Amino acid sequence: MSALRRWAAVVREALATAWAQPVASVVTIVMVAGMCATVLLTTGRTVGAEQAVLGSIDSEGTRSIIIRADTDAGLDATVLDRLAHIDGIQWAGAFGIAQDVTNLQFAGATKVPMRLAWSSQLNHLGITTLPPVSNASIWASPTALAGLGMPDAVGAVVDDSGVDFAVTGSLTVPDFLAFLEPLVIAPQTENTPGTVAVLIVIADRPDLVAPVSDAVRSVLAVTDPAKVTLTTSENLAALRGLVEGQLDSFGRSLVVVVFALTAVLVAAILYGLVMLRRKDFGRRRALGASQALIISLLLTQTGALALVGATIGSIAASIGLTASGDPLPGWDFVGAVALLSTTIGVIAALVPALAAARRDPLKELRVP
Amino acid sequence: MVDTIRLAARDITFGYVPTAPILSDWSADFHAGEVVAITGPSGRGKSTLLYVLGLMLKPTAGQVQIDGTDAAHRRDADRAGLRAHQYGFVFQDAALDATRTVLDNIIETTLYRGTPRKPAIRRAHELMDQFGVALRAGAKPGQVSGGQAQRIALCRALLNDPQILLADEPTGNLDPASSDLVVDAVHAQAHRGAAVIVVTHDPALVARCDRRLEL
Ligand SMILES: Nc1ncnc2c1ncn2[C@@H]1O[C@H](COP(=O)(O)OP(=O)(O)OP(=O)(O)O)[C@@H](O)[C@H]1O
Ligand SMILES: [Mg+2]
Repeated sequence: MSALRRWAAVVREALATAWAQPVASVVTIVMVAGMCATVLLTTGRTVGAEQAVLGSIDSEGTRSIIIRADTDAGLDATVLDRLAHIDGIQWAGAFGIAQDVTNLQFAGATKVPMRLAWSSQLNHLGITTLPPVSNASIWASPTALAGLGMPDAVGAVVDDSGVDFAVTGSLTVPDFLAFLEPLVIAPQTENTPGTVAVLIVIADRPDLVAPVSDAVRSVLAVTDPAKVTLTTSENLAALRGLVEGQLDSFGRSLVVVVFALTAVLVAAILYGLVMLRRKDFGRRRALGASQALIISLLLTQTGALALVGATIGSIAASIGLTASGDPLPGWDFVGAVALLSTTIGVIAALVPALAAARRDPLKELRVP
Repeated sequence: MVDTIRLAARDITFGYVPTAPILSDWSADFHAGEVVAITGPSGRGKSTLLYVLGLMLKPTAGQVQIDGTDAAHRRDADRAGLRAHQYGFVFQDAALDATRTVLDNIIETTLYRGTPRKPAIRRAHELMDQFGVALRAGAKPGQVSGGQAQRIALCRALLNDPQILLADEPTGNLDPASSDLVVDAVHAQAHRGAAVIVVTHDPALVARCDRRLEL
């Protein structure tokens, strides 16, 4: 008989055996599927939670540097030119002193602070095109617009000295500017520098906050450094690094622990199932099956069942993760877990099979 | 043909625990074409002797010779091959696989010999007809009587036309008519050149054997 036909006969017998022992086969499939799904579900959830936590810490607020200057500190908008030469800055903006404005239509209505604003990246605030006469146009945040009584962002405001400004649009206020709310700004170009009360710099990465702060401080060019305060969320940035490291190692050890626990469980149950079949192995050996044949039968049978289990487990876990809105771990990871689960199942079955196959067939056949 | 020594026990010693040997320096020759009855009281070691002669238990001393060469101390794979190709064995308790059909049980050894299934299935049906166990397809050993199981085990043992047929109480559960079928089949196998050894308490079977060894 050719090797191929011999192999086909072994596969046929292994599948027939699996079919003839439905309870043991179902237990094997369920155990391996459970192992696979448990690992994938816990891992998938961990990855999702990790991303959520880091996302919440990783806002621009974590990376912001805020400089407040007194009116007579001597900080003006030319600082932005100097900041342009510093690496590691994602965004920078300067805001003038607040002056109250009210809706031109209702004199005596709510007063809202308005500031001159300088930035080369005003699009970050939702301002895409600057008007020709810049210092006569203002943008206001929805909060400020509500205060002014012009929710449609149409109208004009007037300041205490009687100068009026046209409301041109609605601002998108990023989190790191929320402390300036209600925010009304009159965007300025670098041709119209003026006194800066608040300078905000966003670093590219959390770990750049400290060096960028130092660099920013050195280019402020203020007449009296005592009248300037610089605040950062450096501690938060450091915390983020710590949390990331902790979550990473937590995720990894969770996978290892879950895998180890389920593997021990699966191994114990498969071991038991194979031990129950010692009499069967004894009969086969007594009738002329070689040790190698017994082992290949068991390998094929358990391998096929474990593969079915791993496939079912992976699919179930993927459906579960998708249903709960968790991110899927990559397919290579799913494949690796499925393969590892199958291997664990096969090894768990192989150890008792080897022991059984090596003994005298009759001692196995006559086990109580 | 009767002069050919097919199977020989040479000074066999065996004990499940070495301190209490069940067989001590036991020797016998079994000729091709001969049916030998082994008798003796219960618990004396008749089944054990068959397992040693059947290469399923290794004697602590002595040889089991097949056609003049020792087989008892060969590699495990070689002994398995001899069991599959040269031997037919009927266990005292039939030892059928309860999870598989009767037909699957009878053709089980084709896998161990590496021979094709189709002719084996054809031969299995002939044997089942011959021994009156042509049950419905798909019947399992749990659904047959003790006597039927014994005859199914004999079908399995005869499937590969063995040169050595060892049968442990093959008529133990059978009525006289079925017993006669078994005795006829055993003699037919001997006429085909096999050495046949039956362990039995059945005086009718002993009477029809060529020789009797008391253990
Ligand atoms: N696995 C074993 N371990 C230890 N002792 C055993 C084992 N199997 C059998 N024996 C003992 O060996 C002795 C011989 O047993 P064996 O089955 O060969 O007897 P037997 O002659 O076939 O008996 P019976 O006619 O009742 O079938 C018995 O005393 C039995 O208790
Ligand atoms: Mg016995």
